[in-house]
Amino acid sequence: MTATEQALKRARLGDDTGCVCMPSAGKLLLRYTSSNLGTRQAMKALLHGLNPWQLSATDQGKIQVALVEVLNNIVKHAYSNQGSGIIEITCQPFPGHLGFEVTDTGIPLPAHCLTNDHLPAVDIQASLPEGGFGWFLIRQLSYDISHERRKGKNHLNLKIRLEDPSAQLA
Amino acid sequence: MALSSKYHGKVLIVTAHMAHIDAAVAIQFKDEIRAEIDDHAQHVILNLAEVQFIDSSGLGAIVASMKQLKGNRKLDLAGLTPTVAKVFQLTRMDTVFKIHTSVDEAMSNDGN
Repeated sequence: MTATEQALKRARLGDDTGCVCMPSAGKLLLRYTSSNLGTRQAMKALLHGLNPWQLSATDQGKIQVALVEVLNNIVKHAYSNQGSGIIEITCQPFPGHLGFEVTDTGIPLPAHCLTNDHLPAVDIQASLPEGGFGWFLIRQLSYDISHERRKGKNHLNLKIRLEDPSAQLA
Repeated sequence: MALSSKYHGKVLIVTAHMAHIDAAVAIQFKDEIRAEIDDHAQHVILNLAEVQFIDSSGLGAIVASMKQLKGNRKLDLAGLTPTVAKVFQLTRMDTVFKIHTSVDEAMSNDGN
């Protein structure tokens, strides 16, 4: 199968939600219209696109948990569940880590999301939190997290360390 | 979405037949769990063996389900797959729920 055929096969994976995962210059690019099912499809397409890097199941789980929380926040907060905005993901593999940039044109990300490091209290059963875990999970599973607002776009950058030493990266 | 439940002695086992408990299904999941657990169930075990992925909204739905059980009624979990277990561990929810390796293990230790 040629590189183009492989790219088209990957792209077709996300046809139903308009999610396209295209390998380009050592990067994977995904673009989809904001929705919860779109996020699920985007993760499927991303993990499929990462197949050549033979990531361990542990690393794949880590990527999935961190990225889904980032994407959920965009669907829910940046686009206020309107379902009309475009979300773009760029994934660049490096030896030992993956670099991600996620962009959207929704409302600006509040600054405290990147700095607030506490876990909601889980000691009192009657008042257990049912939310507030999203950014905590993102910060636990990734590093070098930064956010920039440029020309009406949120640019969120983060890195995810690959813990499996057997993963062969290009 | 698919949940099924059956009694083993006095323990109600609710099994989630889905690969994802995420933002796309969290609200529906919470409603269906509530419908599945009858008022007489004192001890409920939620079997997550088929669930490959959970996000923070799915976690919130399970926490909400537990909080609905008042008094001495309890909700345990069983059969967490690796990524699901990781989410419970990172959020320290593994200290809040009793987590069984599997339903079989839970039943053999319970004496029910």
